[in-house]
Amino acid sequence: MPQKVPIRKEEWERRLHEVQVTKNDLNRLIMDYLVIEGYKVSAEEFSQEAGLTPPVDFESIEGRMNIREALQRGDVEDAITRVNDLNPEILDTNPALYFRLQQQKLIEYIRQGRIAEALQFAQEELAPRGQENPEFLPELENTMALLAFESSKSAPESISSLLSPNQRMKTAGEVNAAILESFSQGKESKLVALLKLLCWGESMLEERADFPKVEFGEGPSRR
Amino acid sequence: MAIGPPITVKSLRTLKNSVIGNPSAKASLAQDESFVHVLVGCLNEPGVYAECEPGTSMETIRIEAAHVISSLAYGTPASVHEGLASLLRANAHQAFLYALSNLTSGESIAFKAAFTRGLRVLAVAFAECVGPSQWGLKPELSQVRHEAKFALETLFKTEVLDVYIPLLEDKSPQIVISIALMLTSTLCTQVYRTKVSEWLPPTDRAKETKGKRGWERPNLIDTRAKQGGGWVAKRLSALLQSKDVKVQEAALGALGSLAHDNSAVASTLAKVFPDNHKPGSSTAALQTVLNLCKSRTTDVSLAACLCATFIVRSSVPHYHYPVSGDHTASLTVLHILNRVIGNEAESPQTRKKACFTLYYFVTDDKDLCLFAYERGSLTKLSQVVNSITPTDKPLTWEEEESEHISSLREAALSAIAALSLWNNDIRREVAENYSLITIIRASLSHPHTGVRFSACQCVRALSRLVAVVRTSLVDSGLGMKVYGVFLNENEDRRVMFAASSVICNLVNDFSPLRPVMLEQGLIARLVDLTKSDDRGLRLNALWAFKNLLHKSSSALKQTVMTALGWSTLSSLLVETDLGLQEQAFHIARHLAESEEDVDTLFNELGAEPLLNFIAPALETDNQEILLQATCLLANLANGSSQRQVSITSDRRIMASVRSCLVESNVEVRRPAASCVLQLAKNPKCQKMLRDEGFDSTLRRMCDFGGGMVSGSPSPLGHQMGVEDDVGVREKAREALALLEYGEFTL
Repeated sequence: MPQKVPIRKEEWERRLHEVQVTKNDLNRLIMDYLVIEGYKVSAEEFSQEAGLTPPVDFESIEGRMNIREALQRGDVEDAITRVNDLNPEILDTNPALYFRLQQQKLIEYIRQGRIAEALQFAQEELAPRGQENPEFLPELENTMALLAFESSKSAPESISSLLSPNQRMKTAGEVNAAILESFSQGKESKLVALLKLLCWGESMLEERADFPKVEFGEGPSRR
Repeated sequence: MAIGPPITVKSLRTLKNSVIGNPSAKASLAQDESFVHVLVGCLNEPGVYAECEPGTSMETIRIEAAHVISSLAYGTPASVHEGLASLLRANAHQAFLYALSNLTSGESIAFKAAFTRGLRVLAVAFAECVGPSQWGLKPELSQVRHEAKFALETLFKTEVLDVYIPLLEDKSPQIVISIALMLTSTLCTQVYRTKVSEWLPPTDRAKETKGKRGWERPNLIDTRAKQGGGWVAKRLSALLQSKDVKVQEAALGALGSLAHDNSAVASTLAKVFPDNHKPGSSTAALQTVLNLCKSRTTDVSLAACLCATFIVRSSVPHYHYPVSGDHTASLTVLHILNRVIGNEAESPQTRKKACFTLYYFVTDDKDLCLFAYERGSLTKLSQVVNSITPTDKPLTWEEEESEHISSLREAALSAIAALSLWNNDIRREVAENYSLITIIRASLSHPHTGVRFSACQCVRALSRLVAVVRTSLVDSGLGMKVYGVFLNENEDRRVMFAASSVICNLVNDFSPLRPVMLEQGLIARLVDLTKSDDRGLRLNALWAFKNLLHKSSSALKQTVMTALGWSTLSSLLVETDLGLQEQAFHIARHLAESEEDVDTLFNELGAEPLLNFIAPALETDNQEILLQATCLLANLANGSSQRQVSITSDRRIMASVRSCLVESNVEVRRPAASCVLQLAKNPKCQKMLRDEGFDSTLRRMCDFGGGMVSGSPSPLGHQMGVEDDVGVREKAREALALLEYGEFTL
């Protein structure tokens, strides 16, 4: 195995500084992130401060933002109505997404302790989805298992996590991506794509060299 | 679900939100036919069918009704069946067309978009129902198919095209995309493609029919319409330049569908490539498409690959041949397809499209199959099939596979079948791939129709090689598994057709499976299929009989004919469907392989009827029937002296044979010459042959008439009655000698 080339910190930093990245490029990256993730107010303010015109109009961002907020407060019906107003094709052409939303609705019933309604909903709405698309069955089973545990502490991680805020965010993220895709905007913010590229590049270089890596921890990243 | 209270915007929105995405809600709504009629009524007469509450408008009622109707037509073919049936009966598509034909400037974009979408969704649903689909087999909904077909046809009447084709020039991308998507799916037959490619806007049409001077001949004017592939092709090519990826993707789809099997359009689109290198030229359509193949958006890239494939495959002359032409196009497309097919990170739907595109790329083209094979396509496809098949348990398909995975399986197997159809090396490689063969065998009993169909097609490709028939198909059990499919009376008609194609190849005399199948009801099943409503199945059944009878024992011939019936054969020999008639003659030819068999044929059919079947067949323009009838006659001429005399006595037949000797192509001249030679050996026939002028014809064929007997006849020789085929000339010489010698001995 060939020896890895060691790259010293000073050398590394020197090379990094040589890469030309303008402030405008950085601003556009941030704007792109805010638009895609649907942070309308932040995008508006940032647009003024940085003197950047946004790539899309703010109303369309607002539409997606409202949907995200509806899901984050657990109002799945409202989210579905808004998605259909924005583009009635999305849920008709994306059975997996529709299932995800109905699953979320079931979770909300359970979270609120409305067990009888949850059972009826599961029987009338979710069971048919499982019949139409057998690949949804494992997820459906997990969600039904929630009913069995009735928010008891002994539920396994994969089931109790359904009640966490992360699940709402996950659903919201999937809906957001589907909407963006239907309007032929990028599904993923360029910032996220860059991070992926960075990680890939590092793993490639790792095979041949020792160098200071970017640390993606909870705290401030060090260079 | 009868709705009592009046329809309002609010009730429509609630209804819309309950049905979108929800197949069971749609099915429930579809069953309420009277309500569906009311909904369709709301499209154009909202005042009659609905109540406009304060704060809402008639236009909104119409839009929301349109959304509900569109949603009813969305779904998998099986689930959308009821919705489609109700919408057809309520004439929903006519309502949309009516509204679109009466647009004023007052309607909002939302209105136009909703109605265009409604028309599109319905049209696509009709096309998917009627078939053929671009993306594999769809379930056959026979109850609705007939109505859907009728509705689809109305969409291509000129006055109807006048309503929606001009929308391709609309400023709103949504509307343009809807129409382009509609064309992508509905342009599934040659008739529809021709109608759309020749369509002109009404104003241009009037100008064109009158001509500039008002008296030009219409057919001269027609060519102008087809320049650039026609108005629609030009418009779609222009849309390729759009920056909106959805517009690009839709335009590529429509252009591809228009060019598919349409040489007029395809050739025009390919014409300026690679000769015209003007950058930015608006006529270099294929070049634009190839550039889009490299798009970073996978959907656009694949749409471009499919479009390029259709253009290149359908254009004349062919630009893609690796041997002669510039194969940039082929390399570009193939590289991308291989990459997507092999990329496990791509979704199954994307990989499925890539597999089907590869299928279209190579289908029925031996050179392209080899081209793709040499660049690793078969390896990639095998990897896909292996990666989606669980290896830890026996393949019983008890746990249902997702629709997407099954479609991917169907696509990959279809591409494998197409790749192996023409080339023995490729066939052998598939046959020797143990895991692939195992999966193909298991796929023959897959619940998904398309998978079973494509698995049969794989076996069909393999069964074209004798060595494979003798070994792999037996050892792996693949042959008998297909036979099981073939025997299943409840099998889908299309799968049955594919299975019967395999059986045709397995009944030959060298096939070890022949005796096994004969013991297990082969003949009875084939006889059943000869009575099928499906023409394809009848053809295959006859084909199988033909192969079965070739080089078979007299006993087997008798068994077959007892089951099939001589009267059936008689009626097939005059069958109006010429493809079937050809098979019948071929069967008769194989029935007459020995002197004893010839006698049987004459006895069972009757000498005079038999010769009366043959006589018109020797005069036909249909070359295939002519060939088989001549071969049959040649076999009959091997019969007893009595049979030979009866043939020679038939003046009509003998006249036809004589002209065949001179005028027909060499495949026919060979059996004709054999026939004459056999007859000439019988002294009782020689005088009749001379009386019919055969000696002078034979003399001319042997070049004995003109004096100079050259070693090899001149190229023009044949046209002057001189035979240029060595085998035929030899037989002619021998027959002539017999006739001349016979003259002296009488």
